[in-house]
Amino acid sequence: MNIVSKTPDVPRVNGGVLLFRSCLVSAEYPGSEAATKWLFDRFDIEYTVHPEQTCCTGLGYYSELVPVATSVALAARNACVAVEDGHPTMSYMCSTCYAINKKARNILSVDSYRADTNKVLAKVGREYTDAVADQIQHSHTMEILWSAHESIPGLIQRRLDGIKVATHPACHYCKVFPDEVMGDAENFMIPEDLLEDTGVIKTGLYNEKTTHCGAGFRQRFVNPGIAVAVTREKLRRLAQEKVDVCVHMCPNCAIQFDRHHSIIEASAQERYPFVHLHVQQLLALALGADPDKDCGLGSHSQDVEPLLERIGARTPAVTR
Amino acid sequence: MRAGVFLCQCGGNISGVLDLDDLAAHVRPMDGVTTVAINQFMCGTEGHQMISEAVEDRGLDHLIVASCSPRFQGPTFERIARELRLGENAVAFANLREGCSFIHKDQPELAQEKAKKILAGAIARAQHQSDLPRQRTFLHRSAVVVGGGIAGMTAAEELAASGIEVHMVERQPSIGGYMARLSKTFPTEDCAMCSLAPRLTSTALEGRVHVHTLTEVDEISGPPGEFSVKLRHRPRYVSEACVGCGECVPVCPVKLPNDFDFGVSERKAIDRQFANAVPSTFAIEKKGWSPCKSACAVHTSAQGYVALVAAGRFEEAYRVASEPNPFGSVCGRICTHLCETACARGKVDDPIAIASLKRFVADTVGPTVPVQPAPIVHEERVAIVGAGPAGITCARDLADLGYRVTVFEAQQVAGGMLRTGIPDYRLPHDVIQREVDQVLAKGIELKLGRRAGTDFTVDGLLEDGYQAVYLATGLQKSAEAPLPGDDLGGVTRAVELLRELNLGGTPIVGSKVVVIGGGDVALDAARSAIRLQKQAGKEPDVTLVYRRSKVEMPANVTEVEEGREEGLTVEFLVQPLAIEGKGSKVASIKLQRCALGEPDESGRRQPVAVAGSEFELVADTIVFAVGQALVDDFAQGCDGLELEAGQICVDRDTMMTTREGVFAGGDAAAMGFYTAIEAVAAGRRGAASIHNFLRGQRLLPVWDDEREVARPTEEELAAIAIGQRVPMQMVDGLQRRGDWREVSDGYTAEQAVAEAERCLNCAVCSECDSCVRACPSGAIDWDQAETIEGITVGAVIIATGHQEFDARRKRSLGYGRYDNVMTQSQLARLLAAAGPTAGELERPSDKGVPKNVLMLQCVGSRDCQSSGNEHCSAVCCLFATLHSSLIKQHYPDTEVTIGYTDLRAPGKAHEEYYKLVQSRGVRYVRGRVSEIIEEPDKSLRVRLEDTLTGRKSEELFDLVVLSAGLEASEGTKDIAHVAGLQTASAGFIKEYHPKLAPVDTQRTGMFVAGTAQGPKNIPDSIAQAKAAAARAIGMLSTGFVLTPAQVAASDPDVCIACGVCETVCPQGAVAVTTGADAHSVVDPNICRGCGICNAECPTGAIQLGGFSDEEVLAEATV
Repeated sequence: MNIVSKTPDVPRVNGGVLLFRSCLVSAEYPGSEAATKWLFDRFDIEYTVHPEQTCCTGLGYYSELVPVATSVALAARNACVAVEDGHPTMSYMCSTCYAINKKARNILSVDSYRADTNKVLAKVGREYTDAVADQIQHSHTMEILWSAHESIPGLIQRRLDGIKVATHPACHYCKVFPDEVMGDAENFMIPEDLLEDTGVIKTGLYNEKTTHCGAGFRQRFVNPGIAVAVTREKLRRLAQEKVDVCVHMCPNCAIQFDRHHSIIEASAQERYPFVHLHVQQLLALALGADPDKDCGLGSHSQDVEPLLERIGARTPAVTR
Repeated sequence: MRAGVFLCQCGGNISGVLDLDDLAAHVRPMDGVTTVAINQFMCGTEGHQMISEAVEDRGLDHLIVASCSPRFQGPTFERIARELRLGENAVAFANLREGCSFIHKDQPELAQEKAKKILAGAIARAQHQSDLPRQRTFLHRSAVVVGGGIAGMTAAEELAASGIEVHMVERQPSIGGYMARLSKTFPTEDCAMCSLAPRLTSTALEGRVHVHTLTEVDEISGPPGEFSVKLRHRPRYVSEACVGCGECVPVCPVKLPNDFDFGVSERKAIDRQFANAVPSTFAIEKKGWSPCKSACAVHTSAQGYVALVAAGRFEEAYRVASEPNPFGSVCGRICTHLCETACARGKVDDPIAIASLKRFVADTVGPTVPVQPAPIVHEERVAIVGAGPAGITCARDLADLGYRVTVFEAQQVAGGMLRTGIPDYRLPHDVIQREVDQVLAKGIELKLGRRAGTDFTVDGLLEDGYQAVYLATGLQKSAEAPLPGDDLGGVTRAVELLRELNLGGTPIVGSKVVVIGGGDVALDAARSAIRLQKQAGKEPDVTLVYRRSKVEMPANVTEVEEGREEGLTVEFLVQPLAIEGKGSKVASIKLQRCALGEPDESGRRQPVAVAGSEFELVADTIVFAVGQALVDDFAQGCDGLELEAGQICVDRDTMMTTREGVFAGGDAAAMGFYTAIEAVAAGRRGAASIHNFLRGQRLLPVWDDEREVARPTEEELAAIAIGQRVPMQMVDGLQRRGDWREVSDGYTAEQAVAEAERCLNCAVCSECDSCVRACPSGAIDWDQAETIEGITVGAVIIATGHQEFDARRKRSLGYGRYDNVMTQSQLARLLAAAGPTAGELERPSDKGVPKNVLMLQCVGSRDCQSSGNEHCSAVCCLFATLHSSLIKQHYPDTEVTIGYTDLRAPGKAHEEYYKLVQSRGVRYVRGRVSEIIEEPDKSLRVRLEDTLTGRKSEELFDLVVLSAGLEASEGTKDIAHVAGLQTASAGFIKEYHPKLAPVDTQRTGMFVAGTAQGPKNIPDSIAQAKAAAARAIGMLSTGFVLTPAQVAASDPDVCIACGVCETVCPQGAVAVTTGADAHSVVDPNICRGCGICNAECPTGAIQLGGFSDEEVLAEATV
């Protein structure tokens, strides 16, 4: 029997958010961002996308190209941008952006590191002050959406009855700050809980749920054998659970699964009959979004058409 | 002041850092200092003697002790001062150890300067110290021991042996605690129960120990020596007449996980925890009424008959279902089944098909049950007018009570609206007739074709010798809803149409029928019209129009779906405007669409017409089904009977009409409109009220008391695997169109059992009364209720124990998900000779003997993650070692591996035992597990790192046993809250001093023993229990207790009664009086002198003894 934890209710996010754009989301799955914005509009969550926001440096940092001080400095700068703009709540679509920025917040609470960082920031006319530190909030987009989940039942236009979904919990959300996870860090449920009202079958805890996607940033390239072996193990476990959709909350995980799924099936001579979507995409589809225009499903490597047919997303949405 | 300064070297702890000679020289010239002395251990005998001699020789009145923390040795020097008759506040302390030498080792010069300041401060404070008053409280020579485990029993035994009366409070049905659940104990491997059983017996037989099981402490108040304790006794529902024969257990149909066995077996709702339980009386677990029982108008024990169906005991199920309701087969088909709406299972998946199960037992068993005439006990005769569900039920209950009953019915058939209002396909006529006949067989006379007001009168009945009359005539005609054109040919009314049909006629309906209404009657009329059309060779064309939406519809929604399957068109949110005619016949109906507006007084949203949405439907028959109305012929010849808004006026509590001796119920009575089951309830209440009336008893309200409703928690519901209701076979919709046979076939026995097994047993005991029937001593006692008892005791010993860490919190280990992952406690039950498997080790998934077992240590202990605890649980290493040893001895072929963090075996002979078990072939691997994966064959793939070799491995095991750590039990957490005691990590009760007062608590007179204080093994628990008992005996033996000197006191002249002190006091020692001179009062018996009130008091009214402003300021400003 699987354990299905329930994410606690939280107050609705106060005021607007700064939607922190992600390199991987923009380059690989722009539909994830489009679906997020589409949902924010439906949920009346005011948001901004700021032209001065920079990369979090995650890719460079984890490939040992960017030193930590640089990552911290850019995080401090981005925090200043958000606070100056009046949107001190950051909403991250990528769990690495979330972890890098949140970790930087902790580093910046040490006076000497903050002083060093501020020396650099002074060159661009900014300062990571106590006021910035007090105001800045680092939230994963899952958390922002969950804070508005009570709106969902009234907005459903395509029921997902009978669709079994499983969460792939992103490591950089669940494991970097396990005590700050919304809900159960060892059985993260927001993605499934967000979809609950649409009629999906939730999987809850399953074998290897907390195992990572295999990507490991540069490991994907320097040790592809190990990376793919981990991905395959996870795909096998998800297939054993007979899921229809594995929902993701991080573009890097989605790349590892969506781009490698068919390749692993072919090389392992196994079949994993399910697809990978970002939670935002599946939720938006249930609420009536257009699969192409609003969810950008064309950028996926897997064939998602059978699923779209099954949930009636290839015919115009109607209230049921 | 004549003070002596006594400098302690503390065996070098102080003198190793500070120069005491220099300090002596520094203080000697100070004002008031008469003598200065140095000793290696001032707290020892030599120091004591030195102080005594100085006081005697130099006439000292104050002692300045420069040593360690007053918290540590303060009482020693205060006692010396008391012995030397210096009073209660004659010692001033200079803490040179913790305050100076310990923390400033590296800076001796600065430490020396600080020491001088501290000493000077103490001397200055002594100048202002004056004697403090203390009070005496006389003691009750009695104690309450909370918790009946090994620690509690030991403490109780010791207290009783000293002549002290003991109240032992245990929340479980038996004393015995955790030890009663163990298999064997380490390191001797002797049977736990063999050591415990004699103690259980001696506790039970000890006259001075009063055992209160199923009892909790709700409140403790008052001073030490005179504690008022409020005990809440939960009902056992089995009286002391129980002889412990156990006949009740096999007949109880309710199975639930056996919590005594940590869920590895099942138990019944009536149970005794173990063979040697004390008391030996069985107990019934009952949480109130189940939601289904509460929702039913006659409070049928639906959970009871569902449980009996699940057990395959259909006859008994029928008994439970038919006791409150003679219409089981009828209600199994047409009841609105609010029981199912309330069913908790509905929150998980589908509610239990309670009505269908009732139909199954009533159809299967009902016809086979012989009915005997009820004996006549009373001479009075009662007349019932109307043979519907209310009248027939009233007749049955009165016959059972021993009255002669005659039922008068206007129609030529009995059954009322059940018979004339509901079509055959939904409720077959022979089903009604059978159930009516079974009631009549009790000796009730039925007179058919006798209409009140026409063929007889109520007055006439009373004159003819009937002492009471029950009017249950129902609402026998359709209500009118005027609409232009409603007098045209082809307009008809549903009640009349259905009556004609049910009495054998064939009402004529046209080719295009429109039914107006949204109740059951409307659906019955519409679905009957489809069949009439088909019977006449026409294609069905029936449209039902209802002005609100499906949500507001009073009819059962499944009726709508079934109707649609038969070809019915349903138009929601449509209201009629006018009927258009062609000549004198209906030609069409003009309709208008509506939207939902604000809710009306019924709570349903009102329809609001949408302008411009009018449309027309071609129709030749219009059926009105918009309500029913009273045919009031019976009122003729019933003097004094009053009607109100088309119904009979009745007293809502007694159901008597305005005419004495005449009662009314069912649809006819002005108490709202009834469903069939509510009519049955009205019949039952009518009978009870008539009985009261005829027996000359006051006409008291006869409504049932509502009871507390048992509902599973969200957590319990979340743990239930999602399934679905067993579907019932239905006749195909197209076939049903021209068919008057019943639409559904009912459950088969196998289907019924499978469906009934889905029940969650919300109230645990289902109130099926099987145990009542089985008990040879008549010991089942439903009248028992929760009671509160107040006792006064001198001392309190808390021995409420621990509970196992909930291993589900360690998600990656799979406990609660995987069949073959269990905890050490569960394994203890499997290995116990008196356990569920009689000591056989069984792998849960297949009951086979596991060949490869892994025991995993430190689950939830020594764990820095937030899901675990930091502390070491002390017993787990040896607990796992014990179980490994037992497995190796009984199953030598089974490999046992213990994955440990560090092997801790510090107790006596524990290390030797560990070595012995290791030599028996148990493999010890130092390492932690990252994750456990269940393979399809239920074996467990474990990723393990051997931290001694650094090797990572992946191994397969067929059983994993988690050594889940110890946490404070719920009882410990509760008593800490009730008694106002501080707790430490994982909820364990904090002792007053970890070293010097390990069994004292923050409150005087309350002591702690066993695992309530922290993880420990059995010998340590027993030793601590004896220590706690000795502390209590010591206190109670003095006959009185003195209040501490350093307590707070309030000056009423300064106090402004703001209440801050009352709010902040952690002990609850401060109370604010009421009235004009309101002020705070501190109970010196409860106050522990923490000083929080003193610091918070805005006016300075509260002062702490020994810490007056003068004393503190003098010390701080030197």
